[in-house]
Amino acid sequence: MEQMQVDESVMKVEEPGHVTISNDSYEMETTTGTQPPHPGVHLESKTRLQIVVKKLHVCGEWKWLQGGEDTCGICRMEFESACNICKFPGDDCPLVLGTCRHAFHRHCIEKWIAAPTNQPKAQCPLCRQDWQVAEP
Amino acid sequence: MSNIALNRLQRECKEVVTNSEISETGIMIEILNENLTEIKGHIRGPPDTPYAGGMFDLDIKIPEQYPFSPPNVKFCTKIWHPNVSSQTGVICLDILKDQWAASLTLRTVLLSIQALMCTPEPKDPQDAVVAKQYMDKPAVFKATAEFWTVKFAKGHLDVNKEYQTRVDKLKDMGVREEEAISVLSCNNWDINRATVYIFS
Repeated sequence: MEQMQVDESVMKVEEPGHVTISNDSYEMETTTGTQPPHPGVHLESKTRLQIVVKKLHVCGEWKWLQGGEDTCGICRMEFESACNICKFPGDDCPLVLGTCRHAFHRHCIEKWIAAPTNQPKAQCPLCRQDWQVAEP
Repeated sequence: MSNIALNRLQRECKEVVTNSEISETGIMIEILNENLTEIKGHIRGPPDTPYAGGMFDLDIKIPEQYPFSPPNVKFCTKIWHPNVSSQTGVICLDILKDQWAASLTLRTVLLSIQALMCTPEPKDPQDAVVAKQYMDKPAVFKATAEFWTVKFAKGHLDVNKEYQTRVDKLKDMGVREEEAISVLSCNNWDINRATVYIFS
């Protein structure tokens, strides 16, 4: 997804499985069965604990670059959610930025432009300037 | 109703209900049916206006194309205001017509109507009789609007005794109170002209 950035700082570790204690070493057990077990990564520690990470569940967060923190002014959903027509967010439900710097879900602004009252020229629903898509 | 309208309305209702809006601005909504096509709006009369102390109810009808078409909003509480029909409650407000924008919400619409109650636009009237009185006889307009607030919007001001006497006179002649108030208001409370209007 070209227009997206993955924000490294929000990578999270989730679902650690359960921890078993054997002697002085802590082990994160992998819960899924069939794959060959990863040898694990030894974590350095200043304590006596010997921690071996065998599995990490990494999750990323993405944001549209054009959207900012706001919600779509037409459907009122977060930009990173799908518009009310689409089931899934992402490339299939992109944002469009106007020359006035206001962004909307593409499907939302297209419906606004197509509304009979907005013919022949639609205005931005937020600032009423003539709507024109900003060049990327 | 389309999915987009329903989803958005559900969010909007939350916005109005949870925003501690009621205490701060005096706007409220009441959901009448599950598919959110009909909603009741309530606006508290703004302070320092003839509507202060009153509670005004509005009928809101959501069109199929919402939010790409404006909601249909009209007063169901009778109100004496240059931009609202004193007969039907229809509101003349640009954002409910050609100036509608998809980014507007029930909340902003109700706030706009409340602002219109503070600042009438007599040059773009919905009710020409009211607008003329507003411009030519501002004191009569104020007293009339206050009288309507007390009578129709549960305002708690004292009722204008002089006006009430004239209403009662017409009632004694068999005129319904609502009609008596309306005709007297339209005739700047001249009881003779009001009588002629009703019985001729």
